[in-house]
Amino acid sequence: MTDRAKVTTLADAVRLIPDSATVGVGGNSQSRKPMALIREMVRQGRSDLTVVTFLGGIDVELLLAGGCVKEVRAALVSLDLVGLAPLYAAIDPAKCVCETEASLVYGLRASAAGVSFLPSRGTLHTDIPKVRGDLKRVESPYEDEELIAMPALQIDVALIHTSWSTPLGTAGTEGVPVLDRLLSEAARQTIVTTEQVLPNEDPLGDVLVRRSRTTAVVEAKFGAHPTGCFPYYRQDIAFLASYAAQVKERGAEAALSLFTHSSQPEDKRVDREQILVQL
Amino acid sequence: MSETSGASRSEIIATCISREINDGDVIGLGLGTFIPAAGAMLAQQTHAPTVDFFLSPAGAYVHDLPMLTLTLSEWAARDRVIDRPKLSEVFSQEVHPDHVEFFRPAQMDAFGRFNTSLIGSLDAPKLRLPGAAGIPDVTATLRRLFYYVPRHDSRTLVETVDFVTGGPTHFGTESSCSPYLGSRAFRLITDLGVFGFDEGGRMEVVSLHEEVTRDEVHAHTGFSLDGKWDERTEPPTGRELELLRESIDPLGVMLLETLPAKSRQERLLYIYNNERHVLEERMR
Repeated sequence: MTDRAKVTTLADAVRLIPDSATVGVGGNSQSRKPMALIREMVRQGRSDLTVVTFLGGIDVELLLAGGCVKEVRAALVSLDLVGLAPLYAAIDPAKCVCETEASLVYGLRASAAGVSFLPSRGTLHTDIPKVRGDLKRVESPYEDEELIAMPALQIDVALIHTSWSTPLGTAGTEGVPVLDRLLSEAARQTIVTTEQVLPNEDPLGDVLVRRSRTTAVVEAKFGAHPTGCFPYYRQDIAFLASYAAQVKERGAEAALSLFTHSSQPEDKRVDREQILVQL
Repeated sequence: MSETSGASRSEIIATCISREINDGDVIGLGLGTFIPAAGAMLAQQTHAPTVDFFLSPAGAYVHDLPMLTLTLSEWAARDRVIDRPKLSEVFSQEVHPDHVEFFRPAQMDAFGRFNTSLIGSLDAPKLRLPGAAGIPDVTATLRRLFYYVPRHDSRTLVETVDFVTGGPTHFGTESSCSPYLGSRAFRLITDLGVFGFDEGGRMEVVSLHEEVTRDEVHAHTGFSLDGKWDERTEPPTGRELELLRESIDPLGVMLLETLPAKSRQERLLYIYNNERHVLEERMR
């Protein structure tokens, strides 16, 4: 009999996230956003969170709508095909820290390696340092070369949605891995939500999260909706288009009512026929 | 802005992009950059058969693509993957001298510095755009910078950008950079013409598309511009248009980059509702 000690409910998993925590949100703007967890965070009223994500979208929107956010640190936030993410487009500048793909990768790698920074040539020729006072310039000790010291970025809780997970949290996907592995390696705790909890500890394919990193596992079918989860379902463009239109009309309140009035992500508003893919 | 040879603006731009691509190039494709994707596929189906793609939405290098899709990149890539690198390697700004990427600026100046970050002032922006993604990183290492602007106008091509998200590290021929370090602006393709950068790193006309006039270009550019005003872009051939319409983009995904907001929304939902079936047919 496999120990199922890490398998828990959404509500209990979210209780592991304290207010003011730094959360690392996996996936990208199209795929595998841990939306079931994010809905529950809004429902439980988490606040003052620092939200770190590589390519954000509807995840950042809902956390902003729910008043959960102290700071967003993302390389990009958009509803990509649908357009600008409306709440992020108007975000209070004090809440927005401009990251880049490399600043996040170097920051997470530095954190995982236990060093305070890693050097990069990126951003030196841009205006990013003007809005990021914390990015210090350093001289190479080896060559006549100026570099940016990308500061280590510590994550308290990584939130990662996967195609499958073992009961102890060895989890993976056949789809785009984004930076989820690095997020969980740099985080103190990782909460895995998954389309499917496997009956035993044998992995089903490429591993994204190692079980030693995983604190809690929650089965959440359609848990990434309205983003997609390969190979089961795709991004729900119709939902996102309707989201953008309603927020434009009625503001953050519309976002909340679209998302949080039902307890299950696989409720009737999801047109399953349309998002399911069988190629 | 006129339609030439029955070709749409996006088809003309995609064809020009195709002609900039060399066999053996690796084309980096992000989310929503459909015209360069079509251009690269066209290059592969004409003069550059061994082009590879780095498909960011699927996190994989693929050796070809069945057609342009909105939401099905991972499905389209599934049987075509050459390599699944760790994205932490790809995005940590390691130098990939074989990579080519086409950037779509929200604003760009005459020297190829461009903005995808915000409109307005740094402290109190009027509008926050999606953001930098990897632009500040990769523009430090890609040797030649390529840009495309689906709608050439003076709101996009500006004297001064509100924010420098990325751009060349070196301008023109005034300073040398080592073979693996530093970037230069190389080519801009718009719906009006093809543009290069002169010895001082300033933008110049390479060719105008059919029926486009010098006055039209001046009127839609926010800085002074000179160059080969009499050169004409070779229009898309019948074969190129046929490949684009029938093989590469049967659903008109490229139009999402050129249509005005209302008709864009209709097209978006049309493609979303139909692309599963069309891709299924293709992959059968």
